[in-house]
Amino acid sequence: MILRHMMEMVKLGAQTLAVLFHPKAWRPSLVLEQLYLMGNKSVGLVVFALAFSGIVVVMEYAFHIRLVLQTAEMVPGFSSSLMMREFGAGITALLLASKIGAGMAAELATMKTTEQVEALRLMRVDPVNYLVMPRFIASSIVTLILSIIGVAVAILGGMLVATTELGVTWESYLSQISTFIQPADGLQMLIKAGIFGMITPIISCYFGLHSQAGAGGVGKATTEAVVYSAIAIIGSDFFLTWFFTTAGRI
Amino acid sequence: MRVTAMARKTDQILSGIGKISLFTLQLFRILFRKEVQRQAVFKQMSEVTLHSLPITAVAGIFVGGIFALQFAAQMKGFGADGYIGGANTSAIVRNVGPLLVAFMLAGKIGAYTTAELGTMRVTDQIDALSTLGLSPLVYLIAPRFLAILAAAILLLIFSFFISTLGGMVICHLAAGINFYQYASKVPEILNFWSILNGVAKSAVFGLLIAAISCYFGYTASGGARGVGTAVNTTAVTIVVSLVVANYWVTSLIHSLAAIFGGQ
Amino acid sequence: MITVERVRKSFAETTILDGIDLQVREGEVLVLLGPSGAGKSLLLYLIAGLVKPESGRIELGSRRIGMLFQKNALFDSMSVGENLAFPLKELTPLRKEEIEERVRGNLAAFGLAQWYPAPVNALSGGMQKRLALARALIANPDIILCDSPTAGLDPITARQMTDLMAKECAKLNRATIIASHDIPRSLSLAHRVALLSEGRITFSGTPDEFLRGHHPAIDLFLNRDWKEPFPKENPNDRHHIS
Repeated sequence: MILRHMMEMVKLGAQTLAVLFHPKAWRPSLVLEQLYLMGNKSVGLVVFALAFSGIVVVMEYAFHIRLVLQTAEMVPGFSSSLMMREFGAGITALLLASKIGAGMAAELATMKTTEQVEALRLMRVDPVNYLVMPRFIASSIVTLILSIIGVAVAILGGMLVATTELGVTWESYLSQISTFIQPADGLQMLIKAGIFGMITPIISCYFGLHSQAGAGGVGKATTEAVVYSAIAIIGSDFFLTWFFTTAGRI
Repeated sequence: MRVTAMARKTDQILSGIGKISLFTLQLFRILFRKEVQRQAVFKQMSEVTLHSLPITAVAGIFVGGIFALQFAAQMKGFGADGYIGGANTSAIVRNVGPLLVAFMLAGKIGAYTTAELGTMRVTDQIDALSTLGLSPLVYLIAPRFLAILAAAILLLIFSFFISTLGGMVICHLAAGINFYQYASKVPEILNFWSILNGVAKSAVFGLLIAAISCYFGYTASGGARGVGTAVNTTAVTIVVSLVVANYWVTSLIHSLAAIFGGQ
Repeated sequence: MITVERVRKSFAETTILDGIDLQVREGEVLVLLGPSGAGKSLLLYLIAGLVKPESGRIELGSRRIGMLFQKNALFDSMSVGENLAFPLKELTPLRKEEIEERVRGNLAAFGLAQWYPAPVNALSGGMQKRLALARALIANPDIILCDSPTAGLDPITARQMTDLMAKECAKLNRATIIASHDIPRSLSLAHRVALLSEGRITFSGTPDEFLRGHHPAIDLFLNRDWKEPFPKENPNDRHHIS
């Protein structure tokens, strides 16, 4: 059952990518529309959540490092490193899976219920081209950009806590960051953000387009979009983390 | 004007918080007055828990693995290998375990509940209950609320163990750290307050998932589209609340620990 | 010309259409009657090419199809004008100005002129049906399919809708299939009637033959075991599309 879903999702992903290779079929106005809809509504959310996350990460590192090393010296370095490698992309992506993933599924499922998807097909418009593709592109871009903003906000939030609670100066905080963080970390974040940003729309649009009729169908599609997106993000996060940490490091 | 838009949004959020709180209090009052059938609650709770167990296990293992890898990478450079087990377990119990798994449960349990209740609301089934003389809150919502709450807490606590297991396995596979090494520092690092932290978070997260999902499902309106919107709102609200609650509980326990001389 | 030959379609072990044979000629209006769940919508979907039959074949000859969906299927993310413009944009090489001109003219003909910039949800049920019909016809389709065009409309609006369909479909004069429950209204538009029940076409003939014949399926459908005979047809009610 899950396997069938996964196969169909891969198929949809392939179809979406296939459209990407036909520039003539692109619909820039739709992409822009989606970019605005997705980005506009999600910035505040991401900033808010990542600020809190940044604060917690620093607090937790302070707790553990003090326990082991009796000093809070390296907290800023470790925290920022983790935020860059992990939370920046991960929390943003999970947040966006709820916000725009559920939104996409709900929208497409509602369209399916009122036969709008059929109407498109009747008029020789490919739903993958018209509905999925713009959302795919927009989601990938938005996830990338918001992850970058998110990491910055998280680091700032961490700096707030570090300077007020841990007695770390902001110059020291910033200099630690530059020592601890490598280009590879930035790459890890960008690749994670990019991939997470591509997974969510495919999964969400899939469930939206294949939903059953009526209110129940819409609810079910939206729920499945969120659940499968979340688990897919967590799962791919694991494999990507494995790749980035074992490739030379451990 | 950007400012008035923000002010309006803030007002919306605050009044939303108020409404959900009142709603939850109502449900608790009903539960304390024992007007609810225990059978129904137990049955729903076990159904939900069993149904969500596999996916929680999968998520838990992945989460444990992710942080095992990240911490191992960080600690390797500082020769702190021995502490990986302890640190990882502690971090999982205190923080990332409940939070990330709760993110997933926000969808699996939360969105699901909103979808179900929302569909019932939108197809007038809830009104139908009222006309039969049965209070929907007592008969339908409160039992479901309790079932979801209990299931979420159980699953989150379960995730501690499964994440720890995942962390152990991954550390072994990726960094060659065997189980004894892993477990050796755990008692030293994982203290009472940390465990309390984790358990308290599970309770709070469970409460958030249950309350928010029931509220938005119960108040859904506007046909099929309304159900979709309600589920979307639930997912977002839960996720944001989890992040904020994560901070508050950590802070709270931290302060409590400081008062009682712990850490 | 629409040709349907021995078409079968099932869903999850239930056979809904079990060998359908149908032919509709150029300019002919066929009304498809049948109980709920008989598969009228499904048959229209098959003809429209939105669903593939298990066996049998469907020949359309010409290509462009205009379809009025049961739930209108208007694009709620677009305005009234944009909905009408959509088929022209996608299916024809017309320029923006030409499209706008055509759309405005069309809206006027359908009595919706001032709703051009309005969101679709601002229209009443009857107006939305009219818009859906307009959208189905605007790109000059070769085949017209209508799924329950008067469903959910009050009697007066249903009458208006039927008159509108008579007028506009006559203009285009294409092979047309109308699936309906609304016997008096749809029969007034029909050249031929087909009754779909239990997976097959159990009757096919002229409206007169349908009303006067005593085929068991028709009797059942028209509830003829009433004591009351079916009311006499008023010849003035007929809209003949010739």
